[in-house]
Amino acid sequence: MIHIDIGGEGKYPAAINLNPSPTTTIGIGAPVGIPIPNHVAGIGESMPFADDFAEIIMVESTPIYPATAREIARVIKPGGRIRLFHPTDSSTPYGHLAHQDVIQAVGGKSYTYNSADGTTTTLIIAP
Amino acid sequence: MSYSFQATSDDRAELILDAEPPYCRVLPMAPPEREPDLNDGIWLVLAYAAWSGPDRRAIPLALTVVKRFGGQVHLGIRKFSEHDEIRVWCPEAKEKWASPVWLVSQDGKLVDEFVGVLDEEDLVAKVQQALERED
Repeated sequence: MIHIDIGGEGKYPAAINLNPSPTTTIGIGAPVGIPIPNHVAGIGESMPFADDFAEIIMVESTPIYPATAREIARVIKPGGRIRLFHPTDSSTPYGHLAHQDVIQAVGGKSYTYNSADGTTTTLIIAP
Repeated sequence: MSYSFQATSDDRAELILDAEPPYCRVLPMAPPEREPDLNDGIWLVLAYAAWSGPDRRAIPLALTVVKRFGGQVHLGIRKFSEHDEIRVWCPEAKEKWASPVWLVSQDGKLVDEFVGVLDEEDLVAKVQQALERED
């Protein structure tokens, strides 16, 4: 099963971590500057993967630009799962507000919920 | 807790500092230019991304570390949406991808830039270096 974590730094052991940096930058879970496991250099706006490549795509606390939404729709397999997770903060169009962009680009079924801790999670099942 | 996030009616999450010393401030998001008082003295500015939950873990770290310097260092905490916003008020800033971004300036000149939720002692050491440059 192909699992892509856009902006990932190794939180999910089985995931391909698509990240412009080859080393960790956030400093949570691993110190800053440690090589990112399963690393593929790239960004969500232009993923170096074929169409219908992944069964799972995740974006957690990484910006979702309009091109990112289009790329997720291109790379996710039919029936694949997408998970988006961001603070609930409309100060930026690239966080939880962009979940709608991905829902529209992918289609299928989606579920969005806001947590009391100030975060928004969206799950999408691609058609 | 000396900080919290308050949800506004239009779904923005605004950082509130409570009973923090005057040298710790929340700076406005995306100012049109650098605030003049950032040009005076040593400043540690934490720029955190609005779209990043983990970045928020740097806020208590920043508050803890700057208090260890007893007012010698000013702390500014500023939210951003795009990295280009940072370069409006700090043209020397280079970071394009990662967050949170830390900027240490002395009399308006950037003397250090780094990213991540660092270990407390590592952050203290970086601020200390800036103070030693001033000496």
